Amino acid sequence: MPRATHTKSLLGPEVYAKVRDTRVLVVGAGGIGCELLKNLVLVGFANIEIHHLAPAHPGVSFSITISVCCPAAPLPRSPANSLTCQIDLDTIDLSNLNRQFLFRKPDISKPKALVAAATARHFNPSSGINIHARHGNVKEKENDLEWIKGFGLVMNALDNMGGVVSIVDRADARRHVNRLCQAAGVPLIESGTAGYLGQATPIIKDRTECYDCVPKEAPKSFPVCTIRATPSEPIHCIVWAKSYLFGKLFGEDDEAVDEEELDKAKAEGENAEEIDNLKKEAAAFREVRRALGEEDGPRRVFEKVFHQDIERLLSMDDMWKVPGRVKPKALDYDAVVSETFVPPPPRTPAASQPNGSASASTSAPASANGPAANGNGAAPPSNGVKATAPTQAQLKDQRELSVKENLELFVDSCRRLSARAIAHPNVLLSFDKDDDDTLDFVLATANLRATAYGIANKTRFQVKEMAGNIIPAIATTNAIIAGMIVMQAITILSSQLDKLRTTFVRSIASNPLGMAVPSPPNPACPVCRDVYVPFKVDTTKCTLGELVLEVVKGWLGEAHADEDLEWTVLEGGRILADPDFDDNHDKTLEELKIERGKMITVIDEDQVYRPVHFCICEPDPQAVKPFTLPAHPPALVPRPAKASVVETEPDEVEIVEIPKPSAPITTAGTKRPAPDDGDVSVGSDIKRKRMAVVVQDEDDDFEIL
Amino acid sequence: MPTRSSPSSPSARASKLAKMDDSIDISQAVTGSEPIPSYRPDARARRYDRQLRLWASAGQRSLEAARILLIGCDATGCQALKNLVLPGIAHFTILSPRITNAQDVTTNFFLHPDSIGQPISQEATRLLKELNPAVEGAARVEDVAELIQTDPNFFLSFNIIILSNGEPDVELALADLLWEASATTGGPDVPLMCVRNTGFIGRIEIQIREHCVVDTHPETTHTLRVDEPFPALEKYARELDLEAMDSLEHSHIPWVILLVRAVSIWKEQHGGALPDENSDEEKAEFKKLLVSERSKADEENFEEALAKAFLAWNKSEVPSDTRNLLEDPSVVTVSTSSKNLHLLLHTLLKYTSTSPHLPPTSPALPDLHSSTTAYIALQNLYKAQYQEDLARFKKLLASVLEGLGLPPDAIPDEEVEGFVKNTGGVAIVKGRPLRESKEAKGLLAEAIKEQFSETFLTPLAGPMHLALLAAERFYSTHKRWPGTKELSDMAEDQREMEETVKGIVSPLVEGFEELDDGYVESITEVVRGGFGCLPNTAAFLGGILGQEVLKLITRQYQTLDNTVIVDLVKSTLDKFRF
Repeated sequence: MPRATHTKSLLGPEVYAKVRDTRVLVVGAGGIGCELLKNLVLVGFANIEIHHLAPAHPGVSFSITISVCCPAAPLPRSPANSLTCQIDLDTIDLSNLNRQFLFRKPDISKPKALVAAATARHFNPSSGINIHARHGNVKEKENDLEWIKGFGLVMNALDNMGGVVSIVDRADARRHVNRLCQAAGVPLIESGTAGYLGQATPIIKDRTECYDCVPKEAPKSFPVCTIRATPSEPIHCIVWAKSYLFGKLFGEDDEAVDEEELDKAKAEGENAEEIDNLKKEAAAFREVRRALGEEDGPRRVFEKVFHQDIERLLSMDDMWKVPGRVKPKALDYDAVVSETFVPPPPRTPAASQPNGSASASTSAPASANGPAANGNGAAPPSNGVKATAPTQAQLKDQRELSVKENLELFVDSCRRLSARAIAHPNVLLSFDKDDDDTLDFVLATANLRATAYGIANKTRFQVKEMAGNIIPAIATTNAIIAGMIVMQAITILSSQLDKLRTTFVRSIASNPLGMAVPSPPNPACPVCRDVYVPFKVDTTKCTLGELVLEVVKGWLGEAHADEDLEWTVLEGGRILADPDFDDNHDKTLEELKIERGKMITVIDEDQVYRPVHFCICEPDPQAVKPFTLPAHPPALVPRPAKASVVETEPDEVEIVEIPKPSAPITTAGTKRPAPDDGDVSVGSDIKRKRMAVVVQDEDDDFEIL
Repeated sequence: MPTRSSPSSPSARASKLAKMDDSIDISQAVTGSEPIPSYRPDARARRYDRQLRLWASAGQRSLEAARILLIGCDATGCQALKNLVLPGIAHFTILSPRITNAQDVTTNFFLHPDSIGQPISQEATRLLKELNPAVEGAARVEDVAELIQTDPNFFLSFNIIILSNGEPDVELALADLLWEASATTGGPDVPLMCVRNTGFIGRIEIQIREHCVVDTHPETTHTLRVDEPFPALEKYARELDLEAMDSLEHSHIPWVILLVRAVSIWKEQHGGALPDENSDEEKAEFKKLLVSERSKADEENFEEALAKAFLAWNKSEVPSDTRNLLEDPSVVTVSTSSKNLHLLLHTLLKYTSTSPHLPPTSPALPDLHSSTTAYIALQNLYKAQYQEDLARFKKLLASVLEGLGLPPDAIPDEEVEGFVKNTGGVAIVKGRPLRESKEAKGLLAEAIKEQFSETFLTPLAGPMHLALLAAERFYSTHKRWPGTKELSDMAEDQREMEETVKGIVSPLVEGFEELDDGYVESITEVVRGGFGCLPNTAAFLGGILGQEVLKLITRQYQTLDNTVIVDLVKSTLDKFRF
């Protein structure tokens, strides 16, 4: 019996036809994505494209296109004729297998694209499903406004919660997809899970709130000196190890950025003497780094960072007069090795509460809703990780290491990493929680520093979570959320928009599933209240001058000619032109590195109206002029009375970038997207170069910016 | 479930670990390095990393000892199992006599076209096992009703039974079997989860006689004893020399200390009485006393103390939920066959019968504005008191155990300490027999009566539940589900269902005449669904079922007690206790 019959009778022939025919896009093939893909195909969706954002390489994605062949056709047996898969950098990790059920044990280390495609081929084979996997980038130029308009519905199935736990990488992808959907007017269903909690939110242009209508909590940052000179909590040591020392030894070494950051801190009133010392420290790093590959390299690093640097800090008497500051004790390499080193007194009684990171005026890292990270003993029977009473429950990575073990691990991981750096001089190393060498280094380094400062040490399990933005994830919550996404999808396709609901999965026994009617758009929203215009243009021919004069002043400003509007033209946070700046007018858009998929933003000088974004699309082949515009210019939308409070340019949020190196370097294991606009820096846009250490409050997830 | 030891007996665990060891090669494949160093997690910990952060190793231990039985091998049941095989239960068995047909393959992800003609339980077991090599799976190709007669003990050997879209008579027979088995104290108490779905509608019913939750993850767990400080705390607070402090130190005295100090002074001035909770005057006066020692207007710690000033007149007492637990007959009177939690609560009852009539002090402190030194001093005070209380509790427990003739180590230390730290986070759920609900007796009868009384405008009992109940009676009569014959018979089935619902309501409600629209609509939706399996509804229900099994097995979080109805057309989920 054909699968269709029952579903068809329940949905009705009309809706069923829409389910079959509507092209839908799924972003993400992780925990929720696996569930969603299965549900969609079983329900009868027959035109699905999946983009997977590889977690280690945001922006890198693959897509699988599933199209239903004639049911009578034989199953495609040879993968060769139906699969065209290029390289995919995202591979399956063992820790995915507790929920991403399309992947199996033998698939570990294989590209997700290939495996998901192969597994998906078994979906409902009686219908004869054809799968194409391709490698792409969700922010790539092909994925422009016209591309997103080709879908009837988009579903974001990126793991982790969007609103509750905003992980910068994924928030970035969410924001990108949300903006595209708003620009194109395509319905979007946004979702996310964290442990037992989950959420699915329908987003319909002009009807509901969009992803950016609710401002996301800004990440909290630590003062530079706290990280570099006066840590008082384990998190400070981990941030130092992960984002400072690691970069100094194995990452990109950018003197200018470092100087700039320190000068900025000084300008903002941090202790000038401390800052000058930190500058000297940085210079000394370049020397140990050069010697890293030698036999005594790791020891020299150790002597520098855990002995000399601390001794030097100790010599600054003023620094330790600040009340509440505790003097560190320099580590002695030989004493640690011979186990005669006497650590300074702990700030918190470590023996009785090894997990307790509770310390003055800070939150203990309480995980989303789990007991594991909750070290305050509120969840005792589940808290089998006490160092005082080793039990069978104790897992290897939940054991605290001794100072000597940390030192050995430090030396060992330094050797492993420096061997990698020597073997592949063009591959920039960066921290990745799933890269054992880098995690070992951060673990050992953070703990050694913590020891010197009398701060409680952390276990590998804890460091991994704190350094790696790990959010608990389980199959059940993903299954519930994926079910809700498909129901909302059917509701949208049935055009019953009044029945749309935002759904929450909670751990409240009396009401485990919450439903709410979606809120209307926020009038001040910097994304969904803006105006978007498709701009079909040949970027090799169209100059910026033509754009400014003909498109902006002529076409867009025509209806407002009496207002004498002056315009500023921007792209990705850089100013291309304004009334007093026309140096770029003769350059083509291509020369300005403006390509398909990007947006040119136009703002009137007095900011009376909302920004208008011109979305660069493929040129119309029939066009005579270098560009084609819609028949009518859009109506300009006045800003709300209290202007630009929430206003943030999208790229201002995107401060996640490490400055682009001058030599072409491929990054391995980096979590940072390379700046996508090349090196062109028109106007003075220093915010891209900004480098700061920030932490997100929620769950102690932190992000190094 | 076993009574003396937790579900994770060491023997069960040992065999599990041996199994996990063969998967170490995976992690080697990942890292491409030599044997795993001692500080690195093994393959098992790696696979389960994301969930260990949720329920910790104790929860995982329980999960890895769990044996689950699935009766009925449909999409809903298999989806639920998928969600349990992935996180790593010990064992599952699928029981079904059926042979796979083409319809099964189109709705159930865990079947393959080649499965057609093969026993469905064997096929699904094979495919589900692929998800996690550490999980043991077995298939039994047998009739459920017969097996209940011939081998009832088979059912009692599992930790949880999921019955997916079973025949109503089988549901009742199994529910009776399990309910009776758990009647004797210490007998096996196997939770039964019955799921039924039709179209966009789904219902889950859970029968368990008694379920102990070791951690409900409550929001507030304990009192800081501000109104009734233990002597060391009060002494410390009173002896602080505020005037000798510099401004920094002064502004970093933890608010707990400030409050304790103010309360202590107040009590001294008011003959031992606390500020009167009903007197705004006294409350204001207390706040005045509190801030009288403030040196600057903007001291954050004093702001915090003011915000928490209500603790001075909110008397610390045993929380009402805990009080209810302590009054339960099974806690008041214990025997050798009592569960650990009952013995611990019984000890707590004795503990709170003497002054200060409060549960043991918790060593955990809230976040507060403080200097490191002051914070540690405060923490040490609470920790010392906790140790003292723990010692007192253990002494009482020892005498309880001795009185019963149990060995002093009958309850593991870890469990005792966990309980003492979190007395407010335990719960005992007393379930109800499924039969009562199915026969529209007990709480369901009450709910129906209430619902049809004039004072209630919103339906309480859930028209959908009655519609499903009527469908089950329909099946018992006709041996088919309503809405599954020819299209022309839909109206007839609908009419009969309406009559059945009327038949359920009329003996309970005097003067009852007609069903309102809500009931008719619910019946229509149930009949329209045709009791077929919509894959998306199945996946959704499988998620909820899995979630509840996890809660029951890990004994964390409050479990659903006892009926949940999902309507995916309206996007609603309602919980009832029948």
